[in-house]
Amino acid sequence: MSSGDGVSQSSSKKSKKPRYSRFTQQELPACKPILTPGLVISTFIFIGITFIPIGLSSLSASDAVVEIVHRYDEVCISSNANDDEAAHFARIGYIQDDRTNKTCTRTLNVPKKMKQPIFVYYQLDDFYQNHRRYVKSRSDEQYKSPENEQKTKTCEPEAFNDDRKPIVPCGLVAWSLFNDTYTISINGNTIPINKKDIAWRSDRTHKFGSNVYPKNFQTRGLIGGAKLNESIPLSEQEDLLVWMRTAALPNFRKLYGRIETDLEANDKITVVIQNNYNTYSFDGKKNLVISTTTWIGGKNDFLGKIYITVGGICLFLAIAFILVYLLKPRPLGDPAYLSWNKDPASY
Amino acid sequence: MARGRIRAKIRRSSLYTFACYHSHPSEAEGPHDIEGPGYSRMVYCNQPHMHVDKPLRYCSNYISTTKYNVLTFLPKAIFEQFRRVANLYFLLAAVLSITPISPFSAVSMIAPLGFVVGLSMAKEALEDWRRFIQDMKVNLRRATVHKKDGTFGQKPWMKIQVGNVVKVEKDQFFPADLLLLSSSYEDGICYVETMNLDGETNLKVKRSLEATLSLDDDSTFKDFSATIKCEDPNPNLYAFVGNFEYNCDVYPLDPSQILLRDSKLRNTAYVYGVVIFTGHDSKVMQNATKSPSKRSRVEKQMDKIIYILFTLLVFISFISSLGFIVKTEYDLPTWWYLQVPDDSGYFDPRKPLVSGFYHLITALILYGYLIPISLYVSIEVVKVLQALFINKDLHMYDEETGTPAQARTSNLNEELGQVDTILSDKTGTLTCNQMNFLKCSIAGIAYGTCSSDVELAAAKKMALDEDRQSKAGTPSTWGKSRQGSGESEIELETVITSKDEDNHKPALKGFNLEDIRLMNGNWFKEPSADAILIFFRILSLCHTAIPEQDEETGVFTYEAESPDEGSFLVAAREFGFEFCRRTQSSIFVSERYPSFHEPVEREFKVLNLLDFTSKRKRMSVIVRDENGQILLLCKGADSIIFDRLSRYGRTYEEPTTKHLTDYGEVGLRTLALAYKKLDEAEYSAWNEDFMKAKTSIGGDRDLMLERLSDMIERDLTLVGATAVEDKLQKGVPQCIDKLAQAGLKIWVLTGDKMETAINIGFACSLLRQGMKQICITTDVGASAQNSKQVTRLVKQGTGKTTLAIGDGANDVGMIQEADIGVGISGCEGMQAVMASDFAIAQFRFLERLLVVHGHWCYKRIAQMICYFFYKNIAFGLTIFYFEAFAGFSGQSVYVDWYMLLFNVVLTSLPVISLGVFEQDVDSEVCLQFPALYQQGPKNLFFDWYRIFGWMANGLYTSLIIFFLNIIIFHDQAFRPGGQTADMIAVGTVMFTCVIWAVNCQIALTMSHFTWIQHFLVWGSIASWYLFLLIYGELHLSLNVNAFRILFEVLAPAPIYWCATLLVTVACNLPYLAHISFQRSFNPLDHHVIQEIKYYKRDVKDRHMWRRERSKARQMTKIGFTARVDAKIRQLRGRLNKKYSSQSKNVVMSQQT
Repeated sequence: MSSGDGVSQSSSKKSKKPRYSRFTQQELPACKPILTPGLVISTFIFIGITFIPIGLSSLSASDAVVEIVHRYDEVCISSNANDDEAAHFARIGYIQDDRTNKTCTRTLNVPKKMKQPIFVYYQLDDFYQNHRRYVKSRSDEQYKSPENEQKTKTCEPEAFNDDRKPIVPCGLVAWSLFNDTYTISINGNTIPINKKDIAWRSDRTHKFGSNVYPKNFQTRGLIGGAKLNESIPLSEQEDLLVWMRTAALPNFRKLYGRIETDLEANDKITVVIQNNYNTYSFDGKKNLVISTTTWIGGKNDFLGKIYITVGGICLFLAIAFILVYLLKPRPLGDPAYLSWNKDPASY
Repeated sequence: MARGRIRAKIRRSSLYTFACYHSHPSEAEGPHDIEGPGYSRMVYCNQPHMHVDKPLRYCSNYISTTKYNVLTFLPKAIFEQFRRVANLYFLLAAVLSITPISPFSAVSMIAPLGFVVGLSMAKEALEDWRRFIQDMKVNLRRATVHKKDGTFGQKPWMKIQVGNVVKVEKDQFFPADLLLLSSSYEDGICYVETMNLDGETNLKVKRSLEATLSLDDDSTFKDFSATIKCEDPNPNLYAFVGNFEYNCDVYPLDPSQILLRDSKLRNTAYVYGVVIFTGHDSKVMQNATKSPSKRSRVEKQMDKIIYILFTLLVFISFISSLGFIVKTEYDLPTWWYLQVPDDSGYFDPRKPLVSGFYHLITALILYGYLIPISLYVSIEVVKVLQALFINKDLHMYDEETGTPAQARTSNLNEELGQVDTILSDKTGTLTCNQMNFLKCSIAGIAYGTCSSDVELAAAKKMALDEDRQSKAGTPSTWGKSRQGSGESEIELETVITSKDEDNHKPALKGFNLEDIRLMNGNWFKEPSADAILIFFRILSLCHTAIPEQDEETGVFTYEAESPDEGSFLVAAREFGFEFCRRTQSSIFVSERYPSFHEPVEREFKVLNLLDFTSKRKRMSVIVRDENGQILLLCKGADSIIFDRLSRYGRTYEEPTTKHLTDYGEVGLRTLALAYKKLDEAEYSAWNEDFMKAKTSIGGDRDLMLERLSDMIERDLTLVGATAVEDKLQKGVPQCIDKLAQAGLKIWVLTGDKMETAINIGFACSLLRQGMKQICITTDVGASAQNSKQVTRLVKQGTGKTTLAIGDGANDVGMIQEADIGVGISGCEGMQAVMASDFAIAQFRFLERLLVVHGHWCYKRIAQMICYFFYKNIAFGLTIFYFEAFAGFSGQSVYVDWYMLLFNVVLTSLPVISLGVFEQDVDSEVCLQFPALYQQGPKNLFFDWYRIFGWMANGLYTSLIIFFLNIIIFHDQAFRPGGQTADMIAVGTVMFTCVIWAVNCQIALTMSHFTWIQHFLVWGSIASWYLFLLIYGELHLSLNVNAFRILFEVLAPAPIYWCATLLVTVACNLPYLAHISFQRSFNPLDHHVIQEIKYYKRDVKDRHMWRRERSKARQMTKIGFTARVDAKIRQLRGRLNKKYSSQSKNVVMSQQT
C-alpha cells in the first residue's frame, strides 16, 4: 500500500502546486504614482494655465457673436381685455380663429455688423418638447419608408385620421409643427431666407424617406400646427425635420433659415411675421432670433466664464498649497507622521 | 510498512481501573428497555440485503454537503438570487418594463438583470461543484467489507450499507458508526483517537461485548448473524442505547462499544465492526449543523447603504410624482400639443391621482439607476478573482503536504481584513501533538541544558544587545551599530528556524534532553543518585503503554495512550531504563548501570493501576519489585501532587516549585513525580477493600474507587518534575507574534486539561506569568457544540469580528459559528475543512492570509463599494434633474442603450480592476508593518463618514454634469453651422461627461496601476466613443434616436470637447483637492509608507526603516517578541546581580 500511495501522492503534489506567474502572485509591474506636493501643485497650475486661455478665447468668440432676440408673441396680438384671464382667453380665441389676419410687422435694429451666414431661429419658451407623451409619439419607421405607412402604433393619439386612415407623418411631434413664418426686408428689399440644409444631413438622407409623402396630415378635426405640402417628400420638408429633433428643455431654439448676405450695423430690418402658432394657451413665449456664429456656435458666455472660474480656482489652490508647504512643510515619508509615532496609545 | 511486531498477547482491560468501568455491564441489569419512539432502529448484522427495502432501508453512507443538486439548482439558486432586495427590485422593474408604464424598453431592463443573475448563478454552481468534488473524495475512500462466506473485499465508503461487517486496520478512519465486535487484542479492546470529534488527544479505550470476542477472524463471519435494536440517529456523541441479540441472547449496548465515524483506530492492528449508522445518520454528521451562510460586515453595511439609496429612490420618486400630479392637473390641459386626456389614463388631468400613481411606478423604475444593479455581480466577480489569488499564492503553499491555500467561499475575503479576535484550536493547529522530553528536575536539581524556543531566542537577542550597547557608546561606530541591529532581526528569526532544523537532527523522537550529568550512567555519581533512580523507575513503570520491538534494529518503540507518556518512556530508555516487556501482571525493565556491563532485566509485578482521568489528574501504579518491596509510583499535575505529599516528602518542594515555574514560563508542559513505599500489611488491607469495590455493583462503585485511591495516594515523597515540550508547528510562535503585533486578540480553545491548556498558552507565547487566564470549563471536552457556544460568547461579548481556526471535527461548530472559519487542510480529517470558509495548510499561513490578503481585500472591496455608490448617484441623479425640466413626465434624457451599457460595460470593468488589483502597499510592507492591519478592524475605509463623503461627491458630480451641460447647450447653437442641440445630443454630451468623470475619478482613487488598470480605465472611455460610432451606424430600425450622433453631430463641434474637458475637471477637482490636502496634513500610515517607498528612503536610510518596522510591532504585550523581551529582562536582572560574564550557555544553566 505504501509504495503505490507514495507515487500517487507525489504526482498530485506537483499538480496542486500553483504555478508561478506574476499575475497570480499579484506582482505585476505597476506604476504607483503618489500625490507629492510637487505633482499636486504642478497639476493645479497646469489646469489653471490651460483653462484660462481656453476660457478667454471662448469668451472672445462669444463676444464676436451678434445676436438679435425679439419677443413677438405679445406685441403681435391686439388685446383690449382688462384683466389677465380675459386677455388670456381673448388671445386663444384670436390665435385659433382661422379668419383673422395674423400678419405682424416688426422693425429691428442691427446693433453691429453681421457677417453672413446669419442664422434665423425661432425660440419657444415653456413648450415641453421633452414631455414623454410627446417624445414617444412618433414612428421613425413610418417616416423612413412608404411600406411602413401602417406602422403608427407608437404615434397615438395622432395615428389615424377620422376615417381610420394612417396619418403620414404620424404622431404628436409632427402634428404640432411650428407654423409661424418670417419675411425679412431692409428698406423694402426682401432679403431671402435660405431654408435649404437647415436640417441634419442624416435626417435628410437616411431618417426621412425621399419617397414618403405626407398623407392625411392635419385632416382631423383638431388642427395642430403647420400643414405640409403633400407633393414634397418628407426628406425635403426641412422645417419638419428640424422640428422633429425634439429639444431637451422647454426653452429651445430651432433653426428657421439662413440669411446669406451681410447686415450692416444700424440697418433697420423689417420682419413680417405670420403669427399662427398657438403658445397663448399655455402662456409660452415666442422669440425671433437672428444671430451669427463662431467656432463655439452661438452666444455662449457661460462656457468661457466657467473655464476661467475653474482655472482660477486651480491657480488659487496651487497658491494655497504652495503657501501651506512653505509655512508648514511636511517632509514626504516623514515617519513622524506614522500613527504609532503620533499616538502610541492607539496601538 | 513491513515492520515486524513482537507483541505479548495480554488482556489489556485489566490495566484499567476507571476508564473501562462502563465496559463491564453488570449482568444483573439486563438488556435495555428500548421500546417506543426514538428507538426504532433495527440492524440485521451481516445481512445488508435486509436493508435494501423499506422500512429498514436507511440512508446510504454517501455524504453530501452540497447546497444544490441537478434538479433543485435552478429553483433554489434563483430564489437565492432574488432574496437580495436589490435584485428583487430589478426583477419587478423588468416585469413592469413590458407595460407602457415603463420609461425604458423591456430589453434594456431584462438584459442586464439576466446577465447579472446568470453570472451569480454560474458562480454558485461552480462553488457547489467544488463541494461535490470534495465530498466525493471522502465518499470514494476504500474500506474492507465482508462480502460473502468469510471473504473480505474493498468497497468505497459510499457503498457501505447498514449491517455490513467491516474490518478497519490500524490508523484508518472508521467509515461509519460501527458496533465493535472484536479486535486484534484477545479481550476485544481497541484504542480510538477521537481528536476529530472532540479534540481530545488522549486515546479512548473501547471494548467489545464478551459474546462477540470469538469473531476475530475473517472466516468466522461466514455464518455470523445478529440483530441490533437501538436508538434512532441523534447528534449525541457520548450516548448510545441499544440491545444486541446474538445466539438467542440479548446484550445491552452502551457507548463503549460504538466506534464513531471520523475517529481513527490507534495502537490496535485491526478491529471488526458492524455498521449501525451510515452517512448522514452517523453521529458526527448529525452533530454537524448546516453551515450557515455568512456575510461580511462590509456587506451588511453595504445593505444599509442600499436601503438608504432605496429610501432616496422612493423619496425622489414621490417628489417626481407630486410634480407630475401638479403639472398634469394644472398645466397639461393647456398643453394642446399633448392632446390630453386620452383613454389610457397615464396622463389624465381629470384623474391626476390615478395618473400620479402610475407615474410613481414609472419614476421608481426610472431612477433605478441609483441602485447599482451590477454591484452584487461585480463584487462577486471581484471576490472570485481575489479568492483565486489566495488559492494561487505560493507563499501559502505547503511544500510538505502539497496543499495550497483554498478560499472555499469567496464571500468573506474582505472580512479577513477586519478580524479582531482569533479563536484557535490547539492540537493539530498550534501544536503537532508530538512531545519532546526537554528538562527535568530531580531532587531539587535541574537537569537538561537544551533550551526551549523562547530561551534560545532570548539568549541570542541579549547577546546581540550587549554587543550593540558596547558599540553604541561611540558615535563613530554608528554604521556598525546599524549593521548590528540588522543582524538582530535576521538572526532572531534564524535562531528559531535553525533550532527547528536542530530538532529534526536527533534520531530520537520525543527526547531532547542534553545533560552530561544524567547521560551514559553518569547519574550514578550524582549526590542524589537514589532519587534519580526512583525518578527513572517512575518514568519506566508508571504508564499503560506496551512496547513494540523493531525486528531489525531491536529498538523498542512504545504505543502509549498519550504522547507525553511516550516521551517519558523514550526518556527512560535513554537514561538506561528500557521498558521492554509487559505481561498480564508484570512489567519488565532492562536497567543499565554503569557498574555492570550488561543490562539487568528486572521484573516489577503490577499490583494495581490507578489510571489517569481528567478528574483525578494523576496516575499511580502500585508495583512490587524483585526485593518484594511494594512501591506506589505516582505522576500528576503539580498542584495535585503537592497536596498529597507527606510531611517528610517535601524536602525538594521549594526548588522543584521554582523549577516548575521556570519551565512553565518557557512554555513547557510539566508533571510532578512522587512515590511512596508501602508495607505489606498496609497494602493488603487497602487492596482488599479496593478489590471489593472494584467488583461491586451499583452507582457508588465509582465513588468508592475514587475514595480508596485517594486514600492510598497520600503521604507521597516528591522526587522531581518533568518538563515536556509540546512541539509547536512550524512558524507558530512567529505567526502569533505577528498577529499580536497586528493588534489581534488570540484565544485558544482546547479540550485538554486546564493545566495543559495554560501550558500551551505559554508555549505559544500567548500567556505570560502573571497574566489572567480566562478559563471556560465545560463538562465534556471541547466538542463541536461546546466550541460553538464559546465562539458565540466571544462574538457577542466583543461584538467584533471573530475568526476561528481549527483542524478537526470538534472545531466544526466553532468554525461555523465564527464570522470566519479557517480549517487546517493537509491533515487527514476533512470535517473542519469542509465546514470552513478558508483552508490553509499550516497555522503560520494565517499571517499572510490576514495581514496581506485580508488587508488588501478589505480595502479593495470597501473602495469598490464606495465608488459604486458614487458613480450610480452621480449618474442616477442627472436623470432626476432632467425630470424636473421635462414636466416630470418620466422622459429620460439618455438613450436606453447608454443606460444599459453604463452599469454593465462602460463603468464596471475599471471598478472590478480596482477590486482585484489595488494594492495600497505591497505584500512585503504589509508583513513588515503589521500595524497597518488595524485600518481594517478600525474600519477606516468603510465608515459612514467615508461613505457619505463619497455620496456627497456623487451628488456634486451629478449637479456639475447636469447643470453645466444644460446651460451650455440648452438653447444656443453649438455648431458654427447654426444647429442647436436636440435632446439626444444633450443627453450624449452629458453621458460623455459622466463616463469621463467617473473613470477619471477611479483613476484618482487607485494607487496601483498595472497595465490592466490602464487598459480598463482608459479603454472604458475609448469604448464609449467606439460604441457611439458603431451604434450611430447601426441600421435605423434598431437605432432610431442617435443616428450618427458622434460622427455627424457632436465630434465636429469644438464646444463638445471643450465641455467634456471642463466638466470632467470640474467634477474631479474637489476630490483631488481633498486627497491632496489629506495626504499633506493628515496622512494615514499607508500614505507615509508609500512615500517612503516612492522616494526609496527605505533603501537610503535603512536605520529609519528598521526602526519604524520595529516600532510598528512593539506596541503589544503578548507574542513571541514580548516573551523574549521579558526573558531578557529576567536574565539581565540576574546577570547584574552576579556580575558574571559567563558565556550564555552557563548563564542558562545557572538561572535554573
